[in-house]
Amino acid sequence: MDVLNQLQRQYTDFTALLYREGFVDDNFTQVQKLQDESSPDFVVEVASLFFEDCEKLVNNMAEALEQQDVDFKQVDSHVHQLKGSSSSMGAARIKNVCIAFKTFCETQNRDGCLRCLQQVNHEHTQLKTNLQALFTLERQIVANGGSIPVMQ
Amino acid sequence: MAVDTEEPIIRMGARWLEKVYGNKLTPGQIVQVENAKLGDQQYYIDSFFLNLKRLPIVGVIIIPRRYIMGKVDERAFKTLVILISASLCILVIGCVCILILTNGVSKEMKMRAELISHLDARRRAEASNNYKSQFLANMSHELRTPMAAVIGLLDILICDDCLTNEQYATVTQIRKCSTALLRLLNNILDLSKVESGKLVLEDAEFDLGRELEGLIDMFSVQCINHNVEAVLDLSDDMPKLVRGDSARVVQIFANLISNSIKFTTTGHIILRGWCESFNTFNDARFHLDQKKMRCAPKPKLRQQGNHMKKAWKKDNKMILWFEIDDTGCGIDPGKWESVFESFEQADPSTTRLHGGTGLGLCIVRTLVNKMGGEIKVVKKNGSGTLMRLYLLLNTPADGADLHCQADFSSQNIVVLLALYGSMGRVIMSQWLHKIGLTTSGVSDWNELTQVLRKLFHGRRRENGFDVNCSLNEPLKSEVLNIGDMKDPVFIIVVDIGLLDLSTDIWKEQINFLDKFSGKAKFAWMLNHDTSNAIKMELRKKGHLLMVNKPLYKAKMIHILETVIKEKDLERQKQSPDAARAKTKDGDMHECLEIDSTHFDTASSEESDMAEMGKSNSPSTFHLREKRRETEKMASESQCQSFKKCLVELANVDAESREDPCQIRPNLPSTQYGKDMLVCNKQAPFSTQNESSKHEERISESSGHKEQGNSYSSKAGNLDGLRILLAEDTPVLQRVATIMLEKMGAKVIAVGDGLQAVEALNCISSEKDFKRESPGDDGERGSQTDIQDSPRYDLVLMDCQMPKMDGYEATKAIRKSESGTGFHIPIVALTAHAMSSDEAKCLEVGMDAYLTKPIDYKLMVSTILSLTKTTA
Repeated sequence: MDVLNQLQRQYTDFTALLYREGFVDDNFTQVQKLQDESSPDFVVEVASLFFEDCEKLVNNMAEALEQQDVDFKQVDSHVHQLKGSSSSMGAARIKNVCIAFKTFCETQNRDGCLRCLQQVNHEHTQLKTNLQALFTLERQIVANGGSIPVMQ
Repeated sequence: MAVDTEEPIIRMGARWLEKVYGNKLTPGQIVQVENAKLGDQQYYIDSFFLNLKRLPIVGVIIIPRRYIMGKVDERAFKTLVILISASLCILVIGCVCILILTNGVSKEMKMRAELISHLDARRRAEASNNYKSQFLANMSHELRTPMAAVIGLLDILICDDCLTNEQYATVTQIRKCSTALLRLLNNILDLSKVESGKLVLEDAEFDLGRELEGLIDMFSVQCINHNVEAVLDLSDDMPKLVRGDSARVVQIFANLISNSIKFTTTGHIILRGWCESFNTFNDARFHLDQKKMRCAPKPKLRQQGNHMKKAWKKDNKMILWFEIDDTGCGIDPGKWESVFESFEQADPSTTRLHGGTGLGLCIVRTLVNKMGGEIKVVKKNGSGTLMRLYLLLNTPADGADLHCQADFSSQNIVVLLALYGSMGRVIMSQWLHKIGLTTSGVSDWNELTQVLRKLFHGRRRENGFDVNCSLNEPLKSEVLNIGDMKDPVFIIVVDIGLLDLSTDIWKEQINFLDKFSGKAKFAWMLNHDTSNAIKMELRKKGHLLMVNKPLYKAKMIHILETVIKEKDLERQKQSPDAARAKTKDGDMHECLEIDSTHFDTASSEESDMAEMGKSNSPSTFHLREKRRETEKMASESQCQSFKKCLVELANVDAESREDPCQIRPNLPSTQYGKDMLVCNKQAPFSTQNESSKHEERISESSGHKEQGNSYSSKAGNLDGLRILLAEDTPVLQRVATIMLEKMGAKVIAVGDGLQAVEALNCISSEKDFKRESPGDDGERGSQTDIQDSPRYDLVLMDCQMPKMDGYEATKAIRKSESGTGFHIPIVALTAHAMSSDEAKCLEVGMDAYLTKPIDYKLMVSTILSLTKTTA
């Protein structure tokens, strides 16, 4: 029981931290709410989908930005997609970077874009680590027979 | 020799020969001269040589030329002359012609050059004008979005309980300024729209009387604050329904009335209306109208041809005359024309004193002209302004479009009007007289008490209660007349202002009226700020008929009808019906109030209402909530009237369809306002508005404080719906799919527009589907479903997708639907939130519009409303 309580407390604290720091936002809560018995691994599924998609987009964007003649429209559409998926996912930081990224694309500022891309990468790795930690905690809680505390 | 002969001619001939030839005439030489001039004639001179043996003779024949060539010569001469003169003439004419030609040509060249330069200049001017209008429209549009947000947030702030007085005052001030700014923007936008010719007048049926009544109601608040009486006097033969653009018509009158209010400090403002048949008007102004009818829904010529058969023609045209008569400071006659120009104020200090931009009348005139009418200021007796205008509007089919009024004269009713405003009273009593009711009027409490005593106690005692009677003559005779009637029904309309509300005497006064409550029915005219205590007191005493000022015909008719019905019912049943009649009253007026506050041309009385709302809020809010509860539990008829209000809302919305954020932050009740703000920002289509607002209201009233996002309460809401989701972002696809499936819907997800179109057309076979599908879980199982039931109930279409984007896909779908009668609802999902995107969505045929990230509640409600309406 002790272990369970500890784990649950850890979970609550960690989730609160994530929200406070702006790693995730309300949309993530909505996604979490969608998980239930009929779709038990929904959040994990969505998260993995998101990270895959994000990596793919980042690669595409890196390629596009390496060209001599950067096709900013292409980059812009990638950013748009990333922005869309990150906002539905609730990945607030990534979404914010995307917004800045978009302005750079519009002004065709290659350096700015590259910087943003780096940032996106950075945020992506961070979020991935964080969410993986979160999911591990969840699994541990479930393994110990408890239920995952719901965030307000 | 021959020279010596006597014959002159011969002599001359010989001499000539001598002269010419001398004596060198050799025998063989022959002289043939054709025209030798001898004397004054010309001769042929021919010589011949006769060489006889010893006598060489030279004979000379001299013949006058005249004998031989005479005629020829003549002719030749004449011909020559003629020829020369002819050629000269021709030459001259030719020269003249050439001159003319070159002149003409050069003139034409010059004119062409001028024309081209003019056209060019005009085109440039138009282009710049267009550009300006366009720019202005765009800017105003974009400016309105944050303005609306500001106003909405200010409203929320105003209703916060934790503000200090100072803060509250500041916030109210800010709100007033923002509203003024918004109004200015609206005016400018209107003007630019109208000037650029882009204003399209809607053609729908609406109840003109009702609209004007609502308008007067709305302005009455301001009027009462200014101590000015607002009166509506529409003639009975005005058609009930007309076709036109209700929002614009109301805008015209709202502008005019608000102008009047601005400049009138005492007295009254009367809005009169009457109508004229098209024929009599027509004869005088035929060709003028032709020019003005630009937006006539039906070609005018056809109307002209059939004006004889006006009675049973499909659409009649009526000339509706209106007058706005006020007792304000008036307009200088020299300025009567120029006030209608843009940015013209009658007096330069007006802007400083009253605010305003000077655009109102300009807009009014343009709108009036567009509706086929004219407006001008006319002379009036007394101080103030009288504006007269007429509009040309269609009235729809049925010939029985006049008020079907019950015949009140048969009912033997006496109406006693106890109203402060003399103008209103006079007009109302005139009208009552016209429809056959006996009427009398008093203007203050004392007179009222005297008349009542005389009427009722006088009847009992039958000897005239003259002791304290100081009634004036006409009143006395009226009262006597009434005394002569047999068992009449008495209706007494009392203005709440007659009660002395400053002290507690009003309770006594109400008690006094109790004495007569059995013999007469009282109807009370309340102010908008009449306190609840008074209303409670009145209700306790059994005075159930309460109406808001101002009093106009519809309300009067309503009162009369209610009284008659009550009288009838009283003979059968008892109180329950009266109570129901009362709630019906209350709710009807609630309805009217709701109507009037939704006109978006409101002026600064909005803030007044907000202030008033705040002061009343603790008690009236509760009351309003209660009313909403009763509305929720209402019977069929009440629901109908409620829905009608919403319908009118939606119609008024028609104007704001282009301006999604020009909403109703006017309402003092905030929760309401906030919801509507949210609703409008995200679902601006007017077809949406009616039903989705209906949803919002119902959900609001059924669960007042329900803020929970609990999906469980809405589980199974989308049961049985087949939804096609076209979205390329995998995350979004997944989330949305699960979301919708939780609600009970069946979701087919596709990754781009092309697949969406194909899914709807069912062109592709099962194999293609397997190949092209992104391999979502949801899809594999539902392929058979696709084949079995090809029709989807709704499509969620992302706007940005590879291969074929949302807009293209929608276009394709709509094209394929054009033959059939189907119209599948399509909801756009887009990350952009600009007005141009909204327009684009609408253009391609989408039905609704959600912004990303998706608010799932909104999505569900949108889906429900779209599918419910089609179902």
